[in-house]
This record gives sequence, structure tokens and C-alpha cells, in this order.
Amino acid sequence: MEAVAALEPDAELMLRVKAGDAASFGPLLARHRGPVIHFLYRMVQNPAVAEELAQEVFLRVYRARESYVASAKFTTWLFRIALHLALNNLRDARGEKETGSLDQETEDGLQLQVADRSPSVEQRLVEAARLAEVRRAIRALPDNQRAAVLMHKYEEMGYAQIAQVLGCSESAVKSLLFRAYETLRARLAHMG
Amino acid sequence: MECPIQARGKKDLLLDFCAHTLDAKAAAEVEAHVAACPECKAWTDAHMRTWTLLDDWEPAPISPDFERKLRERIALEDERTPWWKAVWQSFAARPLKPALSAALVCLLLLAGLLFVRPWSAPPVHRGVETIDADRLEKALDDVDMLRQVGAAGEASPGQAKAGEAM
Repeated sequence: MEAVAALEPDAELMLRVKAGDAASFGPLLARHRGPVIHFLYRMVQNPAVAEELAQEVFLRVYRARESYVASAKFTTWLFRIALHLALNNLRDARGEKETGSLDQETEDGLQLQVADRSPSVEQRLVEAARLAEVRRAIRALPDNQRAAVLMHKYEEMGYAQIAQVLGCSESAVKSLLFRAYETLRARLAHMG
Repeated sequence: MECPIQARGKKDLLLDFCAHTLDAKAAAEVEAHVAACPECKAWTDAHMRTWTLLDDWEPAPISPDFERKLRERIALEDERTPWWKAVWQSFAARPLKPALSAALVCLLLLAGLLFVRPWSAPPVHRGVETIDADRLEKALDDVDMLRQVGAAGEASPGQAKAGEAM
């Protein structure tokens, strides 16, 4: 276990799961459940779908335990799976939209009752509208730019790790991020 | 310091500056440049406004039964695991793994020894027996030949004496 002790804690836990210690999966799940669900939520912008996809992510990690090799950072592997599932879901959702009825967007808070005219409700509506704009601006980004921004901004990942998750070079990630932030800045300029 | 917006491949410096991920020395350099460069100042101000707007987007709360559902699915997954795999995993999880492997190797060696049986009579023995039979046969032939020579000598003793004289 000496070689394992030198690894990052996540990889060590995963190697224990690989060796048959199913209890070690608990701390891994507790540590990464939040970031994975939040990333997926911001990618697909639907809480129920995000949780369903997150379940699939962790199930795939558990299934792949026997072939796990601690060659890369555990979170890189985890987010690669999450990104893959999110992109598949987005592609399927686009296909459904094209063939079926248009989706009924349920932006957070936009469907609040407006009969009550108290300032707090108005404030909430304004805030909901602001958030809806932010969400729309992010959703309008190309998939890889959106993923890069979400990992950079909300998961605080470095360029190297984002590059590994996306399967591209670091310079490509920097370029993606720069273009994405430029687009967001232009789209959200009126709100500043 | 070179202007990050003008210089090729330096724009990430501004991104890192806004994300507060630069080390103290680099951050101070960029800060000094931004203060003196209107273009970089405009870019960082606009970026910080966007950054702040993004901060407002909180993710939806996680369902309380997320983990329970996942554990149920994992349990189902484990039920589908073949029995021999489960047995191996339960052994492999313990520090017995090297001993178990060694025992398996010993078992295989034992099976190999039983099959080969190196302690039984070696097949070379049969070869020796064959050689002995050949020798015996040759010796009998020689005896026959000597008998014939002896019989011929008895039949013509003069010839033998003439031979001795020569």
C-alpha cells in the first residue's frame, strides 16, 4: 500500500474500491456528488435530468472500478464521464426538439404568481429574470465553450485539467474560454 | 510588461487576474499594467461584471434521496455480479491476496507433478533394455560364428597346421 499512499486521496479510495472495499465508495461519493450534480445541472439546465445523469456517472465509476488505473486525476476521469453523458443528453434533447413539440422552458421563478404586488415579489421577479438571462446566455454557448466556462468558473479547474477533460490542448482551452467570456460579456452587457 | 491583449497568447493572464489565480508577483505586475492600459482596464472591468453575474447563478439543491437511489442501483449492480467474481473480490479485499495467489501457484505445481510423475521409472530404462537385447543377440551370433569356425577347424586339421606354418 506504499505506492497507493503516495497517490491523491481520491485515487487511493478508488483503488480500495477496486480491491473490493465497497465502503470506500461512500467518501468518494460524498466528496464529488455536489460538484458533479451542479456541473451537470448547469450543462443541461434541468435539475431532475442532472440528478439522473449524475447517478449514471457514479454508477459507471463503480462499474469501471476493476479496470481503474490511477494514471490521471480522479476528478478528471469523473468529469470526463459527466461531460460525455451531458453532451449525449444535449444532443438527444436537440433531436427531440427538432422532431417533437418545442420545449416549454420553465425558467426559475419566471412563473411566479404576479397578483401579489409587494416589492419583495417584484424583486424576486427581477432577480429571476436576471438569472434567466444568465442561463440563456450560457445555454447559447457552443457545448465545448459552455463546458469549459462551467469547469473554469464554477469548479475552479485549471487549464490543464479542463484540457484533459475536453481532450484538447491547453492553448485550445484558453482560446475557448476567452471566446466564451467575450460572448457572455456581449450578451450580458445590458445587465451590468 | 507586454500588454496581454496586444501580445499573442497572453490573454489568459487577464483571465487569471480576474479569477485571482495568479501568484502575488504576477498579480502585482498585471495590476500595474491594467492601471496604466485603458484597453486592459476596460476588458477587466467588463469581465468582472460578467463574472459577478455568473456568481448569482446558484445550482438547484440536491434531492435528499439522491444517495439512497444510487445505493439501490449499486446494490442491484452487485446482485448481478457472478458468484465466482464476488467470492474472488471478497478474498482479494483482504491482505490474504498474496497468500491466496501463492497457494494457487502451489496447487498448480502439485497438479503438474502428479501429471508428470518424475519419481516413476524414467523412459530411458526401456532404451537400456533394448540395448541389452541387441548385445545379447550379437553375442549369440558371435558364439554361433565361433562354433562354426571351431567345427570347420576340427573337420580339416591339415589346413590349420599349414596356416600355422605360414
